[in-house]
Amino acid sequence: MKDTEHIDLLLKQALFSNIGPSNELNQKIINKVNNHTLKVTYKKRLAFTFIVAVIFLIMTATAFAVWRLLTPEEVAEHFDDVPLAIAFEGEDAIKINKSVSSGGYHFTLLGIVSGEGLNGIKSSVHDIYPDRTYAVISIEKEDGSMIPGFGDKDSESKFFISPLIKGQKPWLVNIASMNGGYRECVIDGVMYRLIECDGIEMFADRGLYLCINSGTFYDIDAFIYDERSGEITPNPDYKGINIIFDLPLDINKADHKKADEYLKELLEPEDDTAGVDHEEPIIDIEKEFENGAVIPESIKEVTFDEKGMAYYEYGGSKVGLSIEHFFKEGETGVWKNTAVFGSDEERILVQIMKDENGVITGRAIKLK
Amino acid sequence: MNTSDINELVELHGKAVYGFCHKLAKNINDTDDLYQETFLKAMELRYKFNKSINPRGFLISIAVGLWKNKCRKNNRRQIIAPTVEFCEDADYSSNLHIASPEDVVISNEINTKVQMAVETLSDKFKIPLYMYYTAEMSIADIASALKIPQGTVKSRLHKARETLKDILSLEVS
Repeated sequence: MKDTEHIDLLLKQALFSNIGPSNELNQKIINKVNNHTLKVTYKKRLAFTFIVAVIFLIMTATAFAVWRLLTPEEVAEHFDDVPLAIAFEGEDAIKINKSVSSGGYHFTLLGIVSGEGLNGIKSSVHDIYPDRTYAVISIEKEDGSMIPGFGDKDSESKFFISPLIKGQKPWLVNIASMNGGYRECVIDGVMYRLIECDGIEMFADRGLYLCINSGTFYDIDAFIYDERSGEITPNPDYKGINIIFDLPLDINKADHKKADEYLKELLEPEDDTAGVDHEEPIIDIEKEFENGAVIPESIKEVTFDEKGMAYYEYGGSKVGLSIEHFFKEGETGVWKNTAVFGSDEERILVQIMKDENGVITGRAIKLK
Repeated sequence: MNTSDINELVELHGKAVYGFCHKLAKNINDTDDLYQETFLKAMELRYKFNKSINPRGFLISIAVGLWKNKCRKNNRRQIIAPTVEFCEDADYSSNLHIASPEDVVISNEINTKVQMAVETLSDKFKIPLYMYYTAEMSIADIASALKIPQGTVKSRLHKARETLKDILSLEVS
């Protein structure tokens, strides 16, 4: 018998368990489940209140600030992404809880997790690049005021948040080029952003950052990229938000070969036109629209920012619109198609309409 | 998850979960507690539960989490090595064709040595071993329960076996 088989047999024998729970124990569990009353919750809450009181006395202000924020798993749960919430609870997830203030905001990098199949919301990107990285960042007003919700007039979402790789030009390799995206929400005056992009663990031994700057895109003026060392640092002369967090990923998960191949593909894409059967499936929005249905609760006025940019938000997704491109002068009462979002399984078309008073209304249509 | 689901879980997976809890907890009282807490926690986390996807893994992963919390809480740095109680409970008849009292004693000694050797491993290696050999979970189910790739599970099991071979120095052969 081979050693391997021998040890396998020994383990089977030694770790086999023939012991089982008693009927009384099983019955006790079933009774407890049936009698799961509010009384238990009340007791727990009392104890919880006491613990909060004690913790409040001994915690520093910073620790308290982090403590009262949602955890990454709670943020994922808020987006109904249970698989991702479970991943954030898993042993491969990294809790970071580091905070930096800039431009009147207080940013906390809460946690990060990487892996395959962690996301509950599937799209074609996940099929092509199954290995993904997810991170959760909270954003608070430094003066303690509440960040308005997306439906409010003063709603704000003007941060570019992205992982960066030491040694790679940040304007070329960032969340936008790495098949990234984000979901965000405002809960109790705190904004939470859940970003995702292609997996970055393969770069773990090169040095990884998470950058935040004002605006919607990477701002080349916000950071200094040292071509020689590859380091990326905030530009002290920049007027606006510019933050760099270090991402403490496990260097044992680095994969040089995979990383080089990824960068090669990203920075020197091959000419796809050479392929024969390489056509993207054509999505016939018009046909899907014919069978689509307006979601009644989605009909609402768009909001505007100080620059006149209009925003329509529905179901956690937000579309920025430049209204002048959609309506001719004097054109009213006509619904105009703007954007399609959602997953491969469920596509939502956003339409806007201007009435005779100049009010712009948006609505979402579930395509079929 | 409702009462009938709990009944079903207890019936289908109760023994495997209990055996797994026993490997971690070592004594009956702690095993009962861990087993009971596992099902009550499962009830709390019922929104995450899908009975068509690896229900045993769902329960076992809860048991692992509870056990780790308990260890942290009690500041147990080392778990006491198993006693002869293991051997009394186990049924090795399928692997032992000779029933002489001497062979039973030798077999029990071997099993105790293996169990003690397993105890020297870190949780990272020990828990997948218990999941595989005690809870009789597949590699895929272990990977899903621990949220790690299947390759990592295989690698941990392989490393655990290799380490055990070194520890035992095959003296039991």
